[in-house]
Amino acid sequence: MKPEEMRYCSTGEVHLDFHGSTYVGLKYLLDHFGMEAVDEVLTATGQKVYKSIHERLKNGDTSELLCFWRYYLEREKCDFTLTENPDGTAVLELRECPALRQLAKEKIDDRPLICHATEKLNEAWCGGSPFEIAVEALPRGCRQTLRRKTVAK
Amino acid sequence: MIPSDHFVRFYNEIFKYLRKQGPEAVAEYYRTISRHQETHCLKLFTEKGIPGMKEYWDSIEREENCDSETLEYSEDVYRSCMNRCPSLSKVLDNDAGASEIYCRHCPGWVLPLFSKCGFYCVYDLVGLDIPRCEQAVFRNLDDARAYRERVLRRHPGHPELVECNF
Repeated sequence: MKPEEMRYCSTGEVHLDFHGSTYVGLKYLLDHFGMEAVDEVLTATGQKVYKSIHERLKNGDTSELLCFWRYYLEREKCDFTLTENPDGTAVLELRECPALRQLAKEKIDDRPLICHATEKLNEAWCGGSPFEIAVEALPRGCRQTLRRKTVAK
Repeated sequence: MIPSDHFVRFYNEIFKYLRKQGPEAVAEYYRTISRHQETHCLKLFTEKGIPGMKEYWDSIEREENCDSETLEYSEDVYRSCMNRCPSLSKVLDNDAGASEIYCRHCPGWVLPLFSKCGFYCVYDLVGLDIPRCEQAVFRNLDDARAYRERVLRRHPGHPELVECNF
């Protein structure tokens, strides 16, 4: 898929301060309404805002998610490698997470909440689809493996 | 990860959630955002006043790809117009739909910050589903009051479209 075919294709300058604003929002929800609230908002984001990515994944199509990862990580000048397989699965090795990088500049140290948001968003995207995304922490980022769910026999 | 480009659509979902919790939940979130934003601009606004505000919003205009212009600028007054707000524009171009209160987050966090700096601000929201607005900042309270009356006359029967910190 080409970036301009994605449902949302942003162009122009990037305002990296928004990662701090994302954190403030997550933290506000957590502190005032608990993790259920965080998860409810992230699920709505994953399945309603990103309806196009979610519906494609449910139909076995990972093309928009992979394009999304590559396009936005390049826009944010991240150190990453995205290995795409012919069957639609992939491995994203994100050696420096742009969110963690920005939060470090703002002297915010709360990796668990930021990483939980990524995992919950991934879970929302993959809900009802043949796919799952396994996340492994790396020193300044993570490895996300987009793979087919194994069916219990 | 939510890319920084898409923060506003996530932000919009937060406002939908908080609106269900009640007005105080929304108000407290505005105060929380304002305190966070202080780290970016309170020192600049306090030390440099209106020139500091212009410096801040000039950088925002560039980084957030705003279509905005300065209508009036002096040591005592700074009026600007957002011709096309990229934030509300993204929220309107959104499969999840826009929160009715999305627009209010700007005066929500900006007004307390101006109060802390000792300045008076009038916000003309124009229309909550229209990505345009005007912000006017005054050093002098009487000037701000007079301006607010002018803006209220633009919206007969809809005073809720005008917000201020006095």
